[in-house]
Parts: sequence; C-alpha cells; structure tokens
Amino acid sequence: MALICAAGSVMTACELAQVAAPDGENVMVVEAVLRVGASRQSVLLHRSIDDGAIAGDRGADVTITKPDGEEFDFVESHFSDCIIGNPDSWQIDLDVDFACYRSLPSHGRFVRPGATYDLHVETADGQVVRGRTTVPEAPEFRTPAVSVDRRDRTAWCALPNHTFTLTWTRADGAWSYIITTEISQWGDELRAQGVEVPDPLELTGVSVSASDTTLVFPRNLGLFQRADHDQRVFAALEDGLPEGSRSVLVVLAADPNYTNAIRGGRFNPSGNVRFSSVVGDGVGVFGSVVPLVIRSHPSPQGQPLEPCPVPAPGG
Amino acid sequence: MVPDRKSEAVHVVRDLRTGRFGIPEHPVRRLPRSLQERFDSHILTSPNLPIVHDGDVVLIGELGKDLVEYDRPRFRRAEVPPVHAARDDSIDRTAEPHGGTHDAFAVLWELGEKVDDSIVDASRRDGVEHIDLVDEIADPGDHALAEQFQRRRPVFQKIPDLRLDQRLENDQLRERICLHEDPEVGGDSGLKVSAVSRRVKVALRSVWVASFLLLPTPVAAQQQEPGRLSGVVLDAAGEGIVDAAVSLRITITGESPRIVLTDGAGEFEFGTIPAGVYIVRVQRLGYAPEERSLSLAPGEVARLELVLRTVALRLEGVVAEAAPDRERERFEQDAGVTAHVIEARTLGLLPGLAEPDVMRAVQLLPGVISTSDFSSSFNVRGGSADQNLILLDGFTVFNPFHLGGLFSVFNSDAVERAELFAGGFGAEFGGRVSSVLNIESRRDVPDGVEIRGGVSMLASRVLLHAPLPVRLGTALGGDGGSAFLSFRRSYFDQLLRPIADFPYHLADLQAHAGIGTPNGGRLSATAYAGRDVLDLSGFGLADSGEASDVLRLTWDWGNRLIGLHLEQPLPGDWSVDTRVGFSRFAESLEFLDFGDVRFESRIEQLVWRGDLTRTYSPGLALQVGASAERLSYANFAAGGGTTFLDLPGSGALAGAYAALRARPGSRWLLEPGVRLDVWSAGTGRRTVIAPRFALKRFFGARGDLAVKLALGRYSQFLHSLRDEELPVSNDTWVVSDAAVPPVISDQVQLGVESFWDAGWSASAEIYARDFDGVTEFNLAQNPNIASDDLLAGEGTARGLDLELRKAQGRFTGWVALSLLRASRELPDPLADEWNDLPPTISYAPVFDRRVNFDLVLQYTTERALEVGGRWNYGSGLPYTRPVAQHFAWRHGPITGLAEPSQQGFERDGVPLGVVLGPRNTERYPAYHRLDLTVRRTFERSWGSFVPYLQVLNVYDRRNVLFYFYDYDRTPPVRSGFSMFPFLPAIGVEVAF
Repeated sequence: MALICAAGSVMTACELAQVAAPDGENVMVVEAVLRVGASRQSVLLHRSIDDGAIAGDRGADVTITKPDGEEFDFVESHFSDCIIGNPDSWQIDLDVDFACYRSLPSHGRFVRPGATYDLHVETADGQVVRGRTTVPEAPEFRTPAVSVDRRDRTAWCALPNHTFTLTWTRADGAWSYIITTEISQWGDELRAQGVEVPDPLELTGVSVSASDTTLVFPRNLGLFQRADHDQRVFAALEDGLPEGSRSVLVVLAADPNYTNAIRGGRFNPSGNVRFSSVVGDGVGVFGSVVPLVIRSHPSPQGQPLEPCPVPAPGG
Repeated sequence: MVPDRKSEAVHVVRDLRTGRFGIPEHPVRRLPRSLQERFDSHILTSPNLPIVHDGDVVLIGELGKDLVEYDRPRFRRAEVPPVHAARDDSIDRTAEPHGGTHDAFAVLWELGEKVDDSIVDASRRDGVEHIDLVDEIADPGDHALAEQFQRRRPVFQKIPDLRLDQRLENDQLRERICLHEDPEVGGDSGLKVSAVSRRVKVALRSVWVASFLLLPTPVAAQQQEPGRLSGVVLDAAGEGIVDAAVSLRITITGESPRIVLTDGAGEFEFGTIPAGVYIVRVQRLGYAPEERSLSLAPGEVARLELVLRTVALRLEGVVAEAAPDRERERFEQDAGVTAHVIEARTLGLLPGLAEPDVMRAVQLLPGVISTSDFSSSFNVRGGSADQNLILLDGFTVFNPFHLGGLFSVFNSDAVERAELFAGGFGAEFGGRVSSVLNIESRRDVPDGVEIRGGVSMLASRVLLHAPLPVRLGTALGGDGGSAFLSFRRSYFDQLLRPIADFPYHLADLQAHAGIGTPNGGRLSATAYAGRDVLDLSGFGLADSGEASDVLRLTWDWGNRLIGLHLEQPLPGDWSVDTRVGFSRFAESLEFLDFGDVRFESRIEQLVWRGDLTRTYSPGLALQVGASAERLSYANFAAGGGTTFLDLPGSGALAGAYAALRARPGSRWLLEPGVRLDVWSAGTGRRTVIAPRFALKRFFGARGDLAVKLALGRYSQFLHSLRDEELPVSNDTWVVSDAAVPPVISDQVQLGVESFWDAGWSASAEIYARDFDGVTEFNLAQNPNIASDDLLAGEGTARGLDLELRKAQGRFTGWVALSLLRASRELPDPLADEWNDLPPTISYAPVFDRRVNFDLVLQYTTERALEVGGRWNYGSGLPYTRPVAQHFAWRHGPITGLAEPSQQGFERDGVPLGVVLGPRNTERYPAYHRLDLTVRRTFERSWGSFVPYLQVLNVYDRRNVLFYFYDYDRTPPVRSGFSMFPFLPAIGVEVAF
C-alpha cells in the first residue's frame, strides 16, 4: 500500500482535499532568446496566470544594449510574430494575451557570436526586468562537411538514410548544444502495424559542454521523448532516417542562460521550475543561441538536393 | 556501579572488555529440545539428582563447589556436577517430595510478578543451606504480594551448559542475575544469589534467582523404636502453605537436618525419627521463619501446627541491581557523548512499515527527525542526512535503505541494539559531523540451533543462529561463540500482481560470527549484501522479440559489506580494538532497448582502524588510535550519446587521535582529546586538527545526577548529492577534492542527566553547531568546468533536547521533546552576474523542524501480550511555495520563435511553469501521527510464535507530503498528497 502511495498518484488515500488557495502573485515573465542569423529578434512578455487569464505586458519599453552602448529598441507587434500557433484557437479555459516585441527591420541581423547584450524591460506600470547574455561563438559543421549560409546559418543538403556521426566545431562560451531533428512524411509501415506515429516527429538530443560536439544521428536523438512514444518509433530510427522522409536538423549552441532555462531549477511538485536569468520585477529567460541548420528537403525552388557529405556506413 | 571482578563480595564472571558481569543468559521459559536431551542424558547417568522438566526453575549447578569454580573470567560451561557418592547414602528419599535426592542446586525462579524489590536469602542456618527467594515487601502486610510467591511453585528445569558470561534474559525479564559467594558465610557452601544492580531498585517482573540447598545428612541412626512427626503449615488465614521447607534437626548432635516440603494442603511428615529433642523449623518465601522445639519419645507420633506470618526479609550482603543498560553505562563512563540506545527487544513494538525497522525506530529518539513517512532517513540536530555515519558492527553502510528510503536494510531479528551518538563525540569519532548510528548484530550464544523467522506484508525473513563448535573456541584459546545468517526478501511484486505489475523486490543477506579469544577477547566477522531490483524488462512486446511499446529498464542498487573485528585485552592493562572492512554501495540503471543510456553510481571504502587503551587505574585511562581508509567513487550518467555526469574520484583519509579519560575523584570525569585527520585527494591535501573536550560533574549521594559539557571540532570529507527535498531517492556520493570542500563543524553542548530507581532517567541538552562546507548541487553549474558542481556554504543549528525515559518495568518508554532552529546559507549563482544581488541566500533547510515531540509507550502484560504505542508531533516543515504559475514557453529550435513547452507539467493542454517564492519560507501544517502495535507471544513445545498487528496512523491524519498549487483555476486551489494513510499490517514471527 505504501509503495503505491509512494508512487504518488493512484491511491486516493494519499490525496489531500482540494481547498481554495490564496491568489497567486501577478508576475511578469520574459521570454527572450537572441538567435544569431535571425532577421528580427523577439521578446515575449506575459504575466503569470491570474484570475483565469494570461495578460500580455503591453506598452513596455524593451531595449537591448551592446556593451559599447549601442541600443536596439524593440517595438510592440502582433503576438503571432513572436510565437508559433494561434492562441485564439487553443482549446483552453484561459483568456490569453501575449505581448510581442520585435527588433526593427533596420537593425538587421545584429546579434553577433561572442558579443554581450543587456536586456532592459520597463513595463507601463514601472516594473523593471534586466538580463544579460553573452552569445556563444559560432560553431560549424564538420560532419556533414557542409558550410552554412553566414546570414541565416542554414545549409541545404539531403541527409543520408543511414546513421552517421554528427560533429561540429566547438563554440566557446556555449554551455550546451541542443540538437533537434524534425522528421516528416514517414512511418506508413509502422502505422500499418498499428503503431501510433507522430508526423512530424521532433526528436531532441543534448550535449552538455562546449567540447562535447558529437553524437550519432539520428540514433542518439529523442532521449527526452522516449517515454512519450511507442518504442517501435525509436527502433525504426536506429539505423537512420526512413527512406522518403523529410527532415530538418538543427544544432543550437546555447549560452548559460538558455541552458539553465531548459534544464530546470529546484524540484517543486507544482510544476516546472525554470532557472531565471533575469532580475528585477519579473522572471524569465534572456539567453542566446547560435544555430547550425541543415534542411534536408527540397528547397523552395523545388530543386533536388545534393546529398550531405557524410562517410558511408562502415566507412 | 559495576562491582569489580576482584571484589571479595562478588565472584562472577566479568567481561573485561565490556564490563559486563558473567551472567547466565537463557530463555527461562523455554529450553531447546537438544539441550534438554543432552541434559537428560547427563542426569540419567546421575540418578540421584532430582529432575523436573517443566516449570519455571532453571537448574544452575551444584552449590558451593562449582559456583566457586565458575568464578573465572573465562568460564564457559558449567556441566551439571555429578552427585557425590558419599552423599547418596545419606539421602532420606522418603522425605523428598519429588522422589529424588536433594543436592546443592541453585535455581532460577521466575515469579512473573512485579515486585518492588527482591532479596535472596542464602545463609547457612542450623547447618542447613537455605537459599530462599524472599521478597522485600515494602508493606510487610502485603498479603497479596505474599500470595504471589506462594502460588509459585519452584520446580526444576535444567541448564546443562550454563554460561555465566551470558545474560539471563527472557521476554519478561530485563534484569541481570548473578551468583556470588558470600564472604560472610565463607567456605564452599556459602552462596548468595542475587540480581545485579547496585542502584536501581529492580522492578521485578520476572526471573529471580533463588537457590535451594538441600544437603540432607541423615540423622544418626538410633537404637530406639522410631517415632514419627507430621504437621501442617498454615498462614494467618488458616490456609495451608504449599512448599514450605520444614527441617527437623536434632539439637544435640548437630547433624544435618532432614527437610521436607509441605504438600498442597500444607501438610508434612517425617517418618522414622529416633527419640530425641528436635528443633523443627519451617520457612517459606514471603513468611517469617518459625521454629519449634520438640521432644519426641521412642515410638511417639507427634503432630504440629505451625502458623507463619507474612514478612519480608532483607539479608545483608545481597545485592539487587538492574541490568546495567547501555545508556546507564555511558552515563557513568563517558563524559560528553550523547548516546541513545534502542535494544532489540524494544524494536518489535516500535512502528515500522509492516515489520520492525531499526531505522524508523531511531527516528523516535531525541534530536532526531524525519521529513517524510516515505523515508527511513533521518536528520540529527540540524545536520543533513549525509552527515550521519551509519555503521553495522562498526562498518560503514553508505545507503542503508531500500526503495529510496522506504525501508532500512537491517533485519530486525539480526539486530541486538542500535546506538545513536547524537553529539558530544570524543576524539575516537571521525568521519561524519552530525551523528553516528551503530547497529550491533546479535552476539549472544544460543543453546542450540535457533531459527527465527517472520512473515509480514512487506517481506519474509529468516535467521539461523547457532553456537560455534566448542573446539573452535578452545583452539583459539577463548570461549565459544556463535554465528548467524539472516535472509529477507520482499514479495509485493507477487502480491500486487493481480492488480498491478510492480516488478520490484528487495533482498538482504546478513551474517555475523563471533568467537572468544584468549583473556576474554572476541573476534568477529560481519557481512552484508543487499539488493533492490526494479525490473521492467518483461514489459511490452519483449516476449515476441520485438521492440516494446513501453520503455523497458532495469534498476539495481544495493550495499555490500564485509568486516573483521578483534577486541583483545593485552597484558599490562592494555587492550586493543581493531577492525578492517570493505563497504560498497552501487547503483545502476539501464534501458534495455537503448544501450546508449546508462546511469551508474558507486562508492567504495576500504578501512582499517585500531584503538589501543591503557588503563592505568580505575580512574585514569589513555586511549589512542589510528585509522586509514580509502574512498573511491564513480558517478556516471550518459544517454543519447552524451555524458551528463562522469565524476570519478578517490581520496585517502588518515586519522589519529589521543584521548585521556580521567576521574579526578569520584565526582568528576574529564575527557580531553585531539584528533588529526589528513585527507588526500588528487594532488590536494587537507589537514584538520580537531580538539575535543568533555567534562562531567556528578551530583547526589549516588552520583545519579550529572552535568556535562562537551565541545569539539569535527570533519567530514564526503557528501551526498541527494536532494533532501525529494522524499524518496538514493544517495550519490562524492568525496572532497579541490572543488568540493570538506565539512568542518564546531559544536558545543551542555546538558544534565539523571538516573533514578526503577529505570527512570531524564536528560536535557542544549547545543550549538556551526557547519562550514555544507553543500548542495549547483543547478546553474557550468558544464565546462567541474569546480562548480556543488555550491558550498555554511549552516547553523541551535537546539534543545529533552528526554524522560523509563527502561524497566511493565511500562517502559520515553518522552522526547526536541527544539531546533537550523539554517543554511549558500551562494546565489545569479549574484556572480549581478552585483546588486545579495551574494548568498539564507533559508531554513527542509529538516528544520522547530518542535518535535515523541511519546513512546510499551506495556507488557502477564500473558505475554505486548502493546506499543507511539505518538509523534512535529511542527511544520519548511517548503517553497509557488507564488505564481505561468504559461511555459520554449525557444523553438527550428523556427526561432516561442513555442508551447513540450516538457513537464501540462493541464488541459496548457503547459505550466511555476514561479517560486522565497526558499522555504512557508511551512506545512503540523505533523502528528499515532501508531499502535500489539504482539502476543505463544509458547509451544517446539518454540514460540508471535502474531502481531500494527496500525500506522491510527486516526488517519493527513500529514502533508506535497502541496500542489493550481493558479490556473478560478479561484486558485491547493491540493496535494499526504503521507501514510491509515495503514494496518499484520505479521507473525516464529522462533524454534
């Protein structure tokens, strides 16, 4: 009995009655990750859930400053410019609003590897949040031996259908690398076996130091999704990408703030705790990443892609 | 005070190492069949001995001769002596109610009743050795008490191989018994039988020693026609007194008297009595002796009526003492250390989880708190759990828990006692800064092969215990010894199978062997192996050889331990205590379908330790010692082609100490000492010089009150990375190195202790502890460097512990009140970046229970029914309250835009993150819980069995384990999980 109780969820004998709790605090939350190569940077401001609603912090002054004093003022924009998805279509019992701030087009791709930036947010009611990030140096792919476009950090080539050791150069200042692949248009054979196959399937892997610049693609990805899907999904990817699938591969060299944000803070049973990297009248993340991207499906122009140069299996 | 071995007044075996008396230990109510048979065969060859097989009396040996011979420190066996042929001829068989001859016997007599005090009369009177059990009745008119004695009928049972260096013990007896020669009587026939304890008035519940000495020498043959004498012995109410000893002695010859016992109606009779003048004397336990002079003519048939009055006798030179319990010994012999003892017999009545658990019992001691019902882990006086050194027979057990702390690894059948040192450590202590818990294995020597077992809702366990061959002890030049092997395995994987697949089991194997060495030494070996296995390998489609639909894993962890220990007196008042051992804790987690995922954690310790004691005089002893240990660890976690954790390391600790134990007069006890620890890890070396000092001043006529002061510096060179805020988890150990500081703790405590009669004692201590080098895993550590994996800070603890304890009598138990204020101060990782932030964060640790109260009561009835209860109250523990919840976003790796987080908590499609308030500034509601245990012992010819019922949380108090705050509700709500609900459990223990 106690064991089940320890497991924590199945025995009602261990559940405490639900009672009214004091109102939560209304806290400003900052989502700001500078990304090298992005044509416009964005900062999302929202408030903690209060009285059944999530409010956006509109009317705030959002500024990013370089150490030399150069300032980049952000302007308020529609939230769809900052987020993926349309909150209006979400089937949730909350009224939501997010305040999106974007850098001006005239700022261009101003985020530079190795540079340090300060964030200053002052809301309409005078609350101030500050943050600071130092962008990691830019890594480059070694395997596949492709060069990314210096502007958008992207390369186009067809990833092989066998496993290979993905490597890249060290990015000084990075605390981690987040490696993500999104695989789509695949899994018909599994579906025929009754396996539920996500499409697209996003798999994530991490490397946890600047010098850890290798992993086996795609076998090593999906570490944090393994409990979410049928194991046969992962087994199907043990030997490489499925034939005919489309995929995107991204390696993010992440700064300390972003690394801390994704690895979480102290345990709390009420929810995920994020290690905040901003100070002042709010919480959140102000981090930076440098991406390496391979798009492994036909370009917008529809021309076939060259294979990514990787050693042949066993080679 | 324990009488000295050389005392003229006491001739008993005394263990020089422990200071214990040589005391027979035997379950009075039950003799193993094998011993019974052995004894029988011996007796059958000595037909003159009276034999009665049942009853409560245990034959000890021949009076006068053998008991004196037993007065040797290393006496091992006292075979029942053969009856001297010369006496055989002198026995008046017709006068012996049991039909055999009397010889000199000492007997143990179980009264089974509570008596305030007891005295054994063992004097030579009128040429007859009378050793009777009498009662010192506070009120001589206490007829009810006197009747208790009358109802008891002393019958003979046998101890064929009595061991005087054993303790006399049965379920209802907590006192020690010894025999000694009475110098006043002198000679080989003067015998006194006593219970041992000088100061503590014995609350007798059970066994007392009596001795019957019946040395019938026939009255000289007479030429005249013999007469006859009959009579009746009555009490004041006119009721016949059974088993009164009636002696008939002729006055002019001085020859030995004839003795008979009265029958059930109080009647007695002497036949074939020559004419003469006789003195008839009758005595009976609980009554004043009565004498009559009688002149018997040839052929006369006389009849007497003797009326005895109830009286209590106190005879000079007889000493009654309680068993010198370990705490009392510490009180008398140690100046500073704060020690609490839980004896094995107490364990069964203390709350465990489904079965007795020594670690959960320790949680009830003063200064000790537990933060969760789900964990047997504990915190002592504001120290973290990894600052407790947990030993099995002196050897470290790194993670003495199963299932992340739910159960301890120790089989309660194999435990003799647990002793917790909570503070005031002397120089001989090293390794941890908060407490030392030593679990002692059983070291008694059974009479034959003993089998104990238990079946609970948790597990089944069995213990095999047997004496070692005598020749083995002889070969080593010492006494015999014993060995046991115990095994336990859980089976809730089987029990739960009908309702849930929970393929987890635990198993323990524990062994101990000890044997005497020359001059009262002892060589012992201890071994333990335990394992927890969570095996999810059989899930899903594994049987079909295909990949499974669920994640399959095996999780395996456990301790291994082996150690040798030698305690050896040496010539010239030296003694040595040395041990060598190896201990290991390892844990591994594997995902069967993914070979790239692996978690392993291991720590190993190889240790040698030697202590040398020179006793210059009873008031002065020097103790020096040295130790060497090597610690190595390896913590490894990898998955997805990435190594998350790879922390191998090792270190060596060399320690040495010297301590003086001085008694400048009978009132003072001083213990100055110093300890030197040198820790080497990698290229670094850290030396800690730790002075220790303790002072005790005794007060009162008997020195039963003492004030003590202890202070010292303590060090610790390893840490556990376990997050104590998690209710269930395993330890992951690292040792100090250039990046991980040792813990240095300065501590001072001041206390008062007192012991009263009848086993009462009380203590009060205030203490202050400062910890430098307390650590916590750095959640913001830089993965590129290893030096910041842990945050190192400081801690403090201030507190007061009060205890009132009753250790003897039918009612035993204690009340403990602990007040504590603990704090920790650790660096704020954010402060490195922002100068305007305070560099450190201060908070109350999760074990900062400000008030903790334990009431523990145990009661034993006459019918072997035992009832135990425990009520614990604890003020609320600190926790960190989430002050807000927010929509959880992540940075989309592909899109570069914010996306709803895919990891972690989600409710109704909303990914949630929380904003925490200041650390540990909120407190859960007060904790309280009542547990009850009822046990009943049933004695059978083959052994005994003890069914028990245990109920945890009798009134179903919902003590909070966690709160969950849901601010996404309108209005916000709080729910959570409680700790143990009302939890009944049954089980049975069996002994053969």
